[in-house]
Amino acid sequence: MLKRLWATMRKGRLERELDDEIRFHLETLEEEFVAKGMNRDEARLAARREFGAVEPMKEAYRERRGAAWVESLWQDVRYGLRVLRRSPGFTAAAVVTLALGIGANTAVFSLVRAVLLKMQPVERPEEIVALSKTGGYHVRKFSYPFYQELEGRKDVLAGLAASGGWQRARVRMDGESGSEQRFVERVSGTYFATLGVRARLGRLLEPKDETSAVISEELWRTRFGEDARVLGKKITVDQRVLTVAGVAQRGFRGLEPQAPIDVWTPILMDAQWKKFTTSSWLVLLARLREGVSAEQLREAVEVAHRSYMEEALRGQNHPWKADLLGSRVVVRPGAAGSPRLREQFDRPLVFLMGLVGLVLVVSCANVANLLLARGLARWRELSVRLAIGASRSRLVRQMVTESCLLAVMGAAAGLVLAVVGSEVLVRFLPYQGAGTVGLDVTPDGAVLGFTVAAAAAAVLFGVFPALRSLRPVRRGGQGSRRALVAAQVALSIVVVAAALLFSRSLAELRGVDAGFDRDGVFTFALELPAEYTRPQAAAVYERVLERLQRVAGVAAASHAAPGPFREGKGSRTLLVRGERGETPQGVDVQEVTPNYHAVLGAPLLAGRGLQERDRVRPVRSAVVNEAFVRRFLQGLGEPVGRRVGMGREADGGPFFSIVGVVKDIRHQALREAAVPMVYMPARRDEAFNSVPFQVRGTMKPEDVRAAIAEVDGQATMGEQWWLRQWVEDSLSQERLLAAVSGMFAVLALVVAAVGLYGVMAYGVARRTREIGIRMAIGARRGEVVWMVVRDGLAAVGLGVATGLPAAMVASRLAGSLLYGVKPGDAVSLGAAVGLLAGAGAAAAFAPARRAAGIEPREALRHE
Amino acid sequence: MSKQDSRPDVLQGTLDLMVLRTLETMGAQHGLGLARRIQQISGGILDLNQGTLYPALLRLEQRGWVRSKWGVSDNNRKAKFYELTAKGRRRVGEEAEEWSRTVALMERFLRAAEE
Repeated sequence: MLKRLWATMRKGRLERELDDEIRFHLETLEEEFVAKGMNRDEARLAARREFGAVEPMKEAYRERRGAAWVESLWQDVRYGLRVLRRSPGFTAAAVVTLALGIGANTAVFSLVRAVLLKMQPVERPEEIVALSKTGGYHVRKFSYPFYQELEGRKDVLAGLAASGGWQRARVRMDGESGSEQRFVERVSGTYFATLGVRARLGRLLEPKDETSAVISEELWRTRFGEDARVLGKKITVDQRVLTVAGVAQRGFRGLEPQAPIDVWTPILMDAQWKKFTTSSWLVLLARLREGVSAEQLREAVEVAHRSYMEEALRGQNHPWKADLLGSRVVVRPGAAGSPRLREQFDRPLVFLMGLVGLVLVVSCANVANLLLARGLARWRELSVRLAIGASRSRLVRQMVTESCLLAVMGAAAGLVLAVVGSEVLVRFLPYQGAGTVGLDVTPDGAVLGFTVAAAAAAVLFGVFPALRSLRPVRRGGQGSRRALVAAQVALSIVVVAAALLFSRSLAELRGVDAGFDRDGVFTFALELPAEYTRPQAAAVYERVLERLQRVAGVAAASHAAPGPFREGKGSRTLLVRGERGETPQGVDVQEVTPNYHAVLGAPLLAGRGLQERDRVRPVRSAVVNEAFVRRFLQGLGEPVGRRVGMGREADGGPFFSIVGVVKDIRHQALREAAVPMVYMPARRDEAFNSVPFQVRGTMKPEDVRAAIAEVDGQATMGEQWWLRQWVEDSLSQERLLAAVSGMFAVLALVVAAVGLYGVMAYGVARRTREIGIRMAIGARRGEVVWMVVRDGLAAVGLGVATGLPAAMVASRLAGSLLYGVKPGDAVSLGAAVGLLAGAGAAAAFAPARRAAGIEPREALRHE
Repeated sequence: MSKQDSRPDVLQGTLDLMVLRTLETMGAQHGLGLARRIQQISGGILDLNQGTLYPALLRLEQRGWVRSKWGVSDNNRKAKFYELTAKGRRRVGEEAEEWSRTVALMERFLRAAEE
């Protein structure tokens, strides 16, 4: 194979040689014709005539050269297949080991590619970056005025677009009565131009657009039958009527692969948002100006943002002023992978990729071990072939071909595993919020390329034993085999330790007291048509609550905004003392019905809960949590009965009496300790058109749905979940890490144990005679067993000695991915060593028993 | 796989044998020398494009019957010389025998057809 590679590299030289040869031929003929009396031109023509056409001949020559290459390759492959067929056990073991290693790697890579790497179909996607913020109160997003200001920064930007984010919205087509759920994104008029997306039909959104919409090519094809008359049609998105201006280029569905967009609407559909200087709701997408690095852009935006914020907050007594000024700007790839999933999963995925890489090495070591053992077994055959004149390089080529065949078979089987595996992996991603509906993990060119690279790594491992078995002197090879086993053990310890740490983190998180009982609570968002007035909406909710009480199995029902584990939160300014000139502080607020804490199973610690009489105007009572008391009321005496000022008009604004204190609830995530929270009574006379409901009991969801339909036929239920699922979903990162690293750990353990078993079994077979002699001169069976087991444990011990420090380093890298366990957690590391030692002992046991069963008489007759 | 090799004017096997046999009698030769010698022996019956020889030589080399090396020609120029290998020498005998058998067989058929 190397020879062939060399041949292709020096093709240039072969071509030149051919030219030289032809030139010699032609010129010699020409000279002879001149000598016979022709003039130069005649002679040249005559020479050409003798020779025949040059180019076709060169073509035939080249073809011949290529054909030989293929012929001898084919010959090697056929021979290799025959050899592999002769030892099916070996072949199966090697292929299965490789398939598992390659399959696991390809599966993880498919996910890494879909979430982190895959470029979206926009122009020069590598230039597109997404801007976000950290550290501030309103994280991630920017305000509209800031977007407008930044747009002028031509020194760092080649284009800037804003997106109000995507959502599933009800879309109704022209002339149809029913509506359908589609992914809709609100984008600025610069969106398509910045991304370099072209129109398939009509035109795309422009900065002045207010009532136009652009649809995806997919929607155009499937819903409008590619009819050009779609232009000018009306399309209703959440009660807003827009005109279809154009169709985007084929394949473009926005930048979030899990939310394939079908309709883009102008961002200014909500014109009132224009005015808010500090409210942040826009994702900014920028195209880097040529020669500007992502870091330079980041710095420029951060400086611009800080001065913008200082200006906007000048003279204001804003509760989140310090937070807002202190926020840092982050720049991420904007058109690669899934920007939203990336935030949560880039580190876990990279870590898993590293772990699964170790699994591949363990698998390859196993294959190398198998090849080595077989090389020794074939030593006789190879010696004979060498003796009758086969060239050494020819034999190496043969063995490399065999390795390649194994790798190809392993890769093919691995690819099948990977297709299944990556589908399984996707299920670990969260549904809530991000959703994984559209995430495509079917293998593409890059994934196949990765598989080929993994297979190539396996081939490299095969070359080493191939060369080894051609050494003229027969050597044991047990040394290097034992080293391979030790390496397998060491790597396996890293994988197993990581898996244990991750599952302990997950267990810790699951055991966290979230402050509520997550079992038996059904949640859903109830959505009402936009034409309902606020009082009408509130009246519907009241009737729904009342009706739900009568559904079989319902213990209690409430509505709350935003409710537990929901995105988005309300916040207010707070004046603890209510004195003039007091600096307002920020606090989170939930608007709940009195039953809320009963539904969640969160106990009241002091005072009373909210009551129906609190729900009328003017609202003057509120319940707070423990964190609120700790943070704001320390040293101020009894919280119950205390009056605090709250609301936008904070200075002299409405005052609330704290009527009760409830236990802390982790409302956002299990990882995050409860934040100070004020529970205000939800008014019964006014409500928004969408409110999350919570129902506790043993009811059936379909009964709940039926009850709601009974109350109001136009009410729809948004996403419906059991709270337990919802909470579980918030652990998707930890679950992914624990489950996947767990699978890898089992894989690594099994493969390493098989490797050890192979070495031990071979060792015993080789030492049959020696053991027989030992037993003949009086060694006891127990001693023989120990001798063999000790051998295996020595290899394991060596592996442990090198693996433990590696595991420490790896666990430190995992650092922030862990919860409730320290990176160097002795229990996890100890358990990992124990598992490996156990697997090692198990693997050594069978060969040891065989050794003990050796009959001295038989053994001595052995040779 | 190698259709282009069989030019309509010469059967592939015959050209191989001609080259091998010529090399056997004349020793190392460059392409031009071989071509000329083959044309000379054929007495002008064979209308051979001399260039056709090179792919054939390559094929023989790949089979290990011929080897080549660069040397200096009579007119004092760099030229590639071809010579038979031990394997090639054995092959000439075998091919010649096979060819004789084929010829004998064909002759019988032609005679039989005449009668």
